Amino acid sequence: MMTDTFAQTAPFTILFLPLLGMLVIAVVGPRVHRAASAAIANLAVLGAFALTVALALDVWHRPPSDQVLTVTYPPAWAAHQQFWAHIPPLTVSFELRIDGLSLAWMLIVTGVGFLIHLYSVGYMLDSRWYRTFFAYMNLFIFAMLLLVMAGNFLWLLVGWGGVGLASYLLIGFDMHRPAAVAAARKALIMNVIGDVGIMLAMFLLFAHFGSLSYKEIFANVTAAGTPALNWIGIWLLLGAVAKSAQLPLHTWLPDAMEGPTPVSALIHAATMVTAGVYLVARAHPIYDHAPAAAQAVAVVGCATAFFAATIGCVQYDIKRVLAYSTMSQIGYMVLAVGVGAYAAGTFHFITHAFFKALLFMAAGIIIHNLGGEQDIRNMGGLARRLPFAFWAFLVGTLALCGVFPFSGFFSKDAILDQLLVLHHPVLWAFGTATAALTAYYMFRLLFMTFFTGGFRGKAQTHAGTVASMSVPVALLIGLALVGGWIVVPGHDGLTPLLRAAFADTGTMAALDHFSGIVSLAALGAGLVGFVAAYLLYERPSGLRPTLRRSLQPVRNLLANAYYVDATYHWLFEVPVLTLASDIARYLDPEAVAGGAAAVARTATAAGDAVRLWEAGYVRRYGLSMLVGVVIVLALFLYLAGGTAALGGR
Amino acid sequence: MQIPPVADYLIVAAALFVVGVVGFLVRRNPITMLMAIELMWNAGNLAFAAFARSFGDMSGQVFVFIVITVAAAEAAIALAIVVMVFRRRRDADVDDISVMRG
Amino acid sequence: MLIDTVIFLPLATAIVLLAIPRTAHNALKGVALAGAVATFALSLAFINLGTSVAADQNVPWIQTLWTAAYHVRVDGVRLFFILLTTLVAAVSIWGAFSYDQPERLRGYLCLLLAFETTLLGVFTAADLLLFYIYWDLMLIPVFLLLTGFSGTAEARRAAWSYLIYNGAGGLVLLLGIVALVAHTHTFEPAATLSLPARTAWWIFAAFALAFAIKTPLFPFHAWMPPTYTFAPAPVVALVSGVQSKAGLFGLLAFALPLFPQAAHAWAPVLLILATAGILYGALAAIGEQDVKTLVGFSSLSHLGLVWLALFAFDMTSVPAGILMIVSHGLIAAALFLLLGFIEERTGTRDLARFGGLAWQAPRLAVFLLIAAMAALGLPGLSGFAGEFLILIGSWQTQPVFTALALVAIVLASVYMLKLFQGTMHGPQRLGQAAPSVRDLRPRELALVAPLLAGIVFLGVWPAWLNDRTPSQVTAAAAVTRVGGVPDSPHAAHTASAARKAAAGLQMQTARRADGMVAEAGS
Repeated sequence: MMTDTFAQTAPFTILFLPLLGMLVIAVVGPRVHRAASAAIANLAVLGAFALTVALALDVWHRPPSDQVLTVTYPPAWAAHQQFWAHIPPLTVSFELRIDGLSLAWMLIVTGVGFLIHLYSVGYMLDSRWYRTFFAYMNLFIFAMLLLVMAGNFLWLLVGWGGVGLASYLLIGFDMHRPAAVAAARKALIMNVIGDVGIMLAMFLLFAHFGSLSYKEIFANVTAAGTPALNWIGIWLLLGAVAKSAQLPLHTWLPDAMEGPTPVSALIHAATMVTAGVYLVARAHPIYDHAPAAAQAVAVVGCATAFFAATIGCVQYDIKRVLAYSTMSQIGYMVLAVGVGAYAAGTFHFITHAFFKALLFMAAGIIIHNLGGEQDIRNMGGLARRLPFAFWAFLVGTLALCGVFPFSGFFSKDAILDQLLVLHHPVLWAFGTATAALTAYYMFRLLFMTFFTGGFRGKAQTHAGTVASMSVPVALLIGLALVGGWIVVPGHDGLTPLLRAAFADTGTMAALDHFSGIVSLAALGAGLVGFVAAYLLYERPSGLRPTLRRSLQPVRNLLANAYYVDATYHWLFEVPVLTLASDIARYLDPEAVAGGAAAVARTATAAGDAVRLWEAGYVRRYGLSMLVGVVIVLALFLYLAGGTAALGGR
Repeated sequence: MQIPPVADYLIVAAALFVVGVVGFLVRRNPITMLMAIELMWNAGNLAFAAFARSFGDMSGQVFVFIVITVAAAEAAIALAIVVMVFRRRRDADVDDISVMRG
Repeated sequence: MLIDTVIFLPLATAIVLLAIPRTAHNALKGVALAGAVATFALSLAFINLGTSVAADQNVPWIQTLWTAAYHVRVDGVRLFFILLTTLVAAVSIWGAFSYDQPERLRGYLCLLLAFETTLLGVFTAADLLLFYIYWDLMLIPVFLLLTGFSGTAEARRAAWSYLIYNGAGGLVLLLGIVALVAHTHTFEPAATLSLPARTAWWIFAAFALAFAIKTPLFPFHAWMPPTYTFAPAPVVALVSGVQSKAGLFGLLAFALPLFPQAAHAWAPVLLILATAGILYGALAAIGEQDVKTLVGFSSLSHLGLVWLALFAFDMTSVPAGILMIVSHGLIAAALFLLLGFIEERTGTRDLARFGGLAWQAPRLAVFLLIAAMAALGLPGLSGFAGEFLILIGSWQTQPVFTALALVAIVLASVYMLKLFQGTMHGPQRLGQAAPSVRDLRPRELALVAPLLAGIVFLGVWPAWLNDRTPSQVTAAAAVTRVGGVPDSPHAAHTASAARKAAAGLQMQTARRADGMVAEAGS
């Protein structure tokens, strides 16, 4: 059948197109014009996106029972089934799983990914490593696709590590700046901690299910007891926390803003950092049967949403504010999937990808035009100078703050609504309070960047925005506006698409349930935040200095992000580095090698002592021989029993 | 004629050997030391011959011949060395030739 | 016989080199490389010769009170050690072309080729006397390469350290072999042994000590840092990439099959040492400033993982150990060769003096990145495949040691990034000392490329290797034979396995049994 062949081959094509793009750039890149590299990279991602759309249409037009595809390589007729590992009893094959959940992520990864590739064509134009940049970006798209398309935990982890590598390479893209190098290192190390968490979960999964495949594990998920599933859930959460920058492994994300802005938009806002949400949603059969682990997920998400928002309120770097905002919004998603509102979490992921990518791109235009300036204290009054960036940023802000009818309103509302439906009033209260903080920090950012009097900086505005940058931004303005309309009261267009992927979960509520109280509370909270920001930053009153003085300790705490970085520095970094350098410098050369040297010295000293006797006098040697012979004979007689040795009876 | 018991031969051999050992250890003239070594060789030979006769086994006799041969070779080489040393140093005190110590 | 050709072709090439004038550099290089590459090509033929035993040659040699034979064999355990040797040796010999004293190149190449033959001898020997002879012969070329061809006083000191340590190890091995032969009267490793348990315990200890020094296993590694640091890069590539595997090979081919119960009795001690070494090596690497020493300590950490794999006695971890051995051989060789290129260009190994090399040498940076990422355990490269499969297996029997080893994976990311970023990224520090660092030349690209290709290949398809290692030989030798012996020290372990099964693991146990039956049937 035509469609079946398509559904069997399209996933591989989608997956490997970006990898092919990277390889082509790596091999022929240096020999062709730099624009060609950009074109190759863009076409690879665009092709993947087009195929994904076709695949999605194909899958979603099937009956619900047919909407979960498992594609393996090599195909069934091949003699060799175990592509990755084959050490009985462990076998891991190369399989992909295509269902509503992975398609949602694939569409965003390739779609938003393409827009950001397009944006980068203009943004990175001055970079010396233009081709390398696009090769890395394609590598990232490949790894991210592998992560969401994998059909077992092993290949998920391969993708998981791959996006970590791409993230590392792109954060440290400006490799001459020590800050970027340090940030890249921090990101990778923290992500490796997450990898270890997933590995531990896989060890337990193998111990309990004898397999790493989603299909086999999810079909027998109740075979393992609740305690085991709780542990599996906790270790998966460790991976999710590291990748999605949730408490307590969140400190790498603000530093990751050292990367070029398109990287922040693609990896550290729209796609990679939501991998943790995907992981929890993907492993939903486990979390459905692991109440403690699911509870932990929800609490971590809620705590991150709230704490990150508070930190965002006092930051001055435009990208750092957006980074804390990303952490906070991902906290919402993690919260949603933690309580079992998988569709709501996915929905917020989609809208967040639109408006956060938009915000970063708008910020990128500003930074680009101000020659690299990122401190909002040196901005101001830019609404008139950069009107396009302003409108883009405004739409993004309104969507992020959940203002009706922008996309964020629908998705955030869906999460908060589900929290109440699923009886989590405390989490709901924190979620709503976070909405107030969100509005505060976003409008504070907006005001300080675009208003609050005139331009405060010294930087001269750069040349105007190139088309390759403004076209994707314009498209995202539209998506941030209408992206949420897929779910409106009375019509839920998203849940049916996901239903097949979550067929085995009992809590898949429809999203078209709108509660007036929830919406009004969220909007009211947003209004409070907006008014606070307006009063503090747009009205020249004495309020701000007064508050600043009285709240100075709180301010310090927030400005230093609760001193988490400093704590980790003193708790882990300093002891480990001290111990390591002591080992390398003293313990190993002096104790281990020194121990060996001591043996050698003892042997030499013994030799020296014996040498004193060996003075070169022949007669002394003769005496030695005599004594030796006497000793040997005496021993012989003693051991052989006296006279018996002499033949006596 | 009554053949003396083997113990008598051994007593003589032991006495010869002790004379050889003492001579080797106390004298400093290499020629005398070589003679002392010859005494020890021959003490061994005497014991070999006595045992061979006592046990009726010819192996002991054969060993005596081997020892005589080896002793002759040893004496030849040692004398050559002594002559060389004497030519170089005009002296033949073994305690002076200790330069080859380890 | 193919097997003899493979073993002695490098030595024959070395002899041919001696007939070529020492000034005819191109001829010397051409012949040496041709010999090494031909050896590699011939050894590839073993892959498809058969599933269990690819080649076997047994000629009676000494028959007195005891017997010894010239018995060489290629089987599933030996195959990948041989392939690793021939590949890394060919690459190292090619890498030695840039030796900075051209007038002495002939001796250098000859010794490398002779070293290859001794390594191949160790990995093919199926007779303990032959094994021991090659085992000690390995020392000579390395010692001469260190004393005569690296030219520094430190290297000469390192050579003595290397010789004394490994010589002592060889002596202990000889003691063990002699003690064994005193019982069996043959150097042929017997299929079943009826040794008194106490004797087996001591003999295994002797074997294990010799192998621990060669690998090296913490804390028997004192010879390792100076040797890896001061030896020329091609020599280190062979010593670290291949020779260090001789100890692990000895365990797999002799010590474990001969003394399974003694191995179980010693397992707690060796597991503790392995885990301590995994963490110690990682920490020492983090604290190290010399790039070659850093990679040396990372080897200590990674090879500790193989000891963990072997003494966890799990059906997955033991075959995964072979994967890790091959993977580490490729990674270590690639890293040391690349660091050698960097040292040639900049004249330093000190991390404090490097920085920003990627600006001038982007290809070098990419190659080092791949090798460093493989060592770091990035999923998708061979280092991860080895680590992951070892740990998923050892977790099932030794969760505590496995959890500790997982800490080292995080530490690995710290030291490998320190190595990569310290040399390639950051501000350029070399300044006037090295105004322009050349990127990799075509020869250098081509010689490292096969190693990296192997790393990527084994990372995406480790099953290719595992299907060619007879798991019934390795895993069954280690697990089932002991499981069947009553009153073994392993009884406690089987008891805990029973407890686990009662706790809801029936499915997995059944699967494992199925797997074993299937293997036995095939």
